Amino acid sequence: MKTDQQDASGLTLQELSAETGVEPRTIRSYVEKGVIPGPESLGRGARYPRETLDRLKVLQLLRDANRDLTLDQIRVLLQRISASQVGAIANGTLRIGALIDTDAIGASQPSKTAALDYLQSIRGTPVGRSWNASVQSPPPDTDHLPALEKAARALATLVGQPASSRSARGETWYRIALTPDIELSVRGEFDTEQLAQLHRISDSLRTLLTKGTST
Amino acid sequence: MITNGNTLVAPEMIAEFDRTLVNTAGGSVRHLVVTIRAPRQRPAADEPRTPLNLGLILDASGSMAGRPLAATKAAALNVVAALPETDHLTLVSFAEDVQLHAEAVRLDAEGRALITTLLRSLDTRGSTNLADGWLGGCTSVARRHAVCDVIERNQVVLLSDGHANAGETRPQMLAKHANELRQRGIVTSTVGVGHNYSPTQLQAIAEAGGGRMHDAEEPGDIAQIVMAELNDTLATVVDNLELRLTVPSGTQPEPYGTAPFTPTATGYDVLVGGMLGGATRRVVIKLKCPAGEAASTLAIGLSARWTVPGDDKRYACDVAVPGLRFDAGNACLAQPRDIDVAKKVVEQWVAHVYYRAMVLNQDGDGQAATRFVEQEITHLRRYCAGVPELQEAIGGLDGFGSSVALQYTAHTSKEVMLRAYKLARGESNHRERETHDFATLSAMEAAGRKAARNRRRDGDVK
Repeated sequence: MKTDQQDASGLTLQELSAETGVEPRTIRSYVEKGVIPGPESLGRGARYPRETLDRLKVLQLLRDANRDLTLDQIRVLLQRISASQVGAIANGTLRIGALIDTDAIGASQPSKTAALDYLQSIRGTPVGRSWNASVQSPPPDTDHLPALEKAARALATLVGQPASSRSARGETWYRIALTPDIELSVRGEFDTEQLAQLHRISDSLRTLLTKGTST
Repeated sequence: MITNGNTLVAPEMIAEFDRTLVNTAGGSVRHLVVTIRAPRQRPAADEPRTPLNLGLILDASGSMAGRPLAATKAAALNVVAALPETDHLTLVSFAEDVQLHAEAVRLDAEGRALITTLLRSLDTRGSTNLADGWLGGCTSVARRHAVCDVIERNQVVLLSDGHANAGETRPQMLAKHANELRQRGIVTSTVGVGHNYSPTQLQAIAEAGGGRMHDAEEPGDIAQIVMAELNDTLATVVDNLELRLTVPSGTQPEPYGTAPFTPTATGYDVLVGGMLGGATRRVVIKLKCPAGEAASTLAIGLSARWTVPGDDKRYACDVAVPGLRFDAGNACLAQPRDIDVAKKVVEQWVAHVYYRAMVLNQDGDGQAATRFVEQEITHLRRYCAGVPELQEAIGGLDGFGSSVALQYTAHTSKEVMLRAYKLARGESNHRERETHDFATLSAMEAAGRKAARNRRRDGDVK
């Protein structure tokens, strides 16, 4: 048990070891690798701050929570936890034992296309069908806007979607507004890579168009 | 790794029971109160905030004509003006159809000009295909999310004044989609306009979508509320907060309030959603306990999982839960209730009763609503017996129980549900006028009925 005297003057390596059950040489290696703070003084009577003890306890909790965590991962994690949070975890008022990796550290969120994949997966429902059929309406008549239609067809071909009859029902049009007066409409279903390409093309077109009007 | 300065963004969580002894014979009801406080940390002033990939989904149905649509446009223009050029905006309107006006437009000078022009040309048309409009806007936000190289906050704000009456209308299905999208990184908040929107639909989306539901009672509230939602979004320090409750076999948990509660392999998940810096939320779960051996412990496990805006990791922690100890029935009865905890329980319990009864009332089953309220009053009276400050909290329920047999007006029912929702979440309204308390709302409904009867009677006389 830690005493008031320990709080005031810090703990020796042996006291740290006794408090945590961690071998002194292991504690030294943690200090050398920057995982926990080192002693405040040098020599045989070197004393470690209270924070070293707290961080050592949190380190053990992290190890218990996930045996696969590397020391480097733990070091980075401990650097991100404030002294008060470390204290709270160490004394049991805030338990971040499972903080990590099982479902936490290292476990990334779903892939960036997951939401889009989900929305596409529910297109078989009335929600999805309706969205495609109504939102992506056909572009204006080609007699009035032949250049835009040609651009759309060219872009559809460019991103790997062959142009199909504009009169087809339930077709999907992908529309991107370029300026208040001009939008880009491309027919077809696009995967993520193709969409990225389409957006890059749109950005370039928008830049060209807006620069043209401002000069 | 976790951002917001260099400090771990971890909510503080405290779990308490109103009583810690449970009857060895089984059947004890105990309440677990979990108080969650989000940290106040904000990014340092010189640290750029996470860019926003925002979708504004606007109701353009016929009922929005005039002031509501004008106010909505003004609100959207305020948003456009307030956001920096690092943010992107999708603009969708819906009526019987859905129109994608702009998708993930960067809010630089050209982008602002484009959105401004598009908003000015927006007009009303037809019925309310809310689900398609919302999912359409989510699709646009998801498209940008899929191809964007930097971490952005993907947020959709859905604004509507009506009941969805085309496309998907079932609250449970809307909630399912909202939940799936939340888990995939898209958060949805909702703004109900006027008195005739569906609180159950918009709330289902906001609750399961990890966002917030707001009420814009008057068109004049819209701009303020949309900006407040935007500020809330930017002030959110914890997202997707879920509590995972692990209970021994035979234990029956039931949460109060409106938070989504779903069974898992090991217990139940309660979705708390996003939390603003410094905010406090309270989750109250009623536990009906099984039988057990004297002096043994009924171990309830609780952990929390959350994400942090601007980070691509998920975090978790265990929450220390006091042990429930089995003892003889007499010892259980003799154990005093923790009054501070009991106050928190009663506040959420009463809100829960009002909310559930109102859902039944609006479903057209007034008799079931009355039965439910009467049954809960009995339990509440027993729970509050001998503690005057607790009894005060249940004072208005008697009148409510009898009045809820008849269908409430859309306005009063919305106000009751809104108050319960805000109470359960510990949130205030951003609108000009705060909601009345439950007793006042119930009295207002009764007065409205009396006035209507008088008008009918006077009409008969004439």
